[in-house]
Amino acid sequence: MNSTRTTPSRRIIHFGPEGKLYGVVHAPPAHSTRGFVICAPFAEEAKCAYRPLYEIADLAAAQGWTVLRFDYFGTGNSAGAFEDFTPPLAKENIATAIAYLHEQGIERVGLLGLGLGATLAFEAVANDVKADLLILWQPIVSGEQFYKLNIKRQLVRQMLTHGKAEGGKSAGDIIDLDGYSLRTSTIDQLKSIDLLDYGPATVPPTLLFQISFTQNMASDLQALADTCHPEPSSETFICEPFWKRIGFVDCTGVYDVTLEWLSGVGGCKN
Amino acid sequence: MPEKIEDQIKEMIVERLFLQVSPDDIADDDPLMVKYDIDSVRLFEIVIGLEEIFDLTFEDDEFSVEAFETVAAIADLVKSKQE
Repeated sequence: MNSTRTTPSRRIIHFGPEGKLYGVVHAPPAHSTRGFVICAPFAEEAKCAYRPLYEIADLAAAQGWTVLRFDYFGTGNSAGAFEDFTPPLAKENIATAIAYLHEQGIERVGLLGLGLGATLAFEAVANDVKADLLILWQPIVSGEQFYKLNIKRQLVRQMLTHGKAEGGKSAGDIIDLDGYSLRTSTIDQLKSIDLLDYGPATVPPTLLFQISFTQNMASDLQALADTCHPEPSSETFICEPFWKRIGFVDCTGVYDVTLEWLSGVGGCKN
Repeated sequence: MPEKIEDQIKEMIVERLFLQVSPDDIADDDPLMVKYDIDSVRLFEIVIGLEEIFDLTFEDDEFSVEAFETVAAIADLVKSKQE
């Protein structure tokens, strides 16, 4: 009987200082020297995107990539409370995740991020964290804009629950942002993010992927592409924003574009 | 782009919510939330779409269910903000 594995395997890991970060490694059937870390989006979006990020990890692993999904400190199954989450710490976590894959013998490690995760991945690279490739699914370019949209989402939710919006709630240093408790300092850090400030930014081979209701590239994403050197591969794909939907969204097209780009930029035969 | 505000709203709703209907199938007084299964996530998309295509910003006190119940109500809100 042939015992050689032909499908990806998954194993839970605890890594980083004191093993406080929780992750899942999707390993290819045969040893690979190429991999990437998945940088999840923020709060509710991370829940909605769980299935698609799990699926892209499995699909990439089947094509020879070692993929690490993990939870930032303070989120998901990692240690800490949600108010411990901060963008600077999340970027440190990303660097720690890259280092973990290197320790496992993965020589070339990239980043795939969605939403705020893509933003943090971009910032990590811009701040000299070494990544061999960058896949940005619908990155948030302006933290200020992102914050305003989250406030608006909260107002819309309140409107449907109570008939009208009631505004934000706060208790001391903690602010309720659409059901998630954040420190005011974290809100300030989020609002201060502006990816265009990094221009001109030197990036590894990069896929800038707009996932939206239109094929027309949004002006902020185009501006981001224009600040990068070398120029990223820009793709647009019409798809429901699955990271904002509770229900099923068919993301096959998103996976296909991403895997095709990966096979072109990195190859998978080790 | 259609000229009537109501038609622009319908087109935006169908496009942004990936509805499998023609914009012409939506009546001005259709109860949007009931008929098109619009939850808070989808209503948020409508709000953002309105702000983008009409270049306006909704204030906190303008978020009421009645204002977003039908295309006609939304159009009234948009027109009042454009005045």
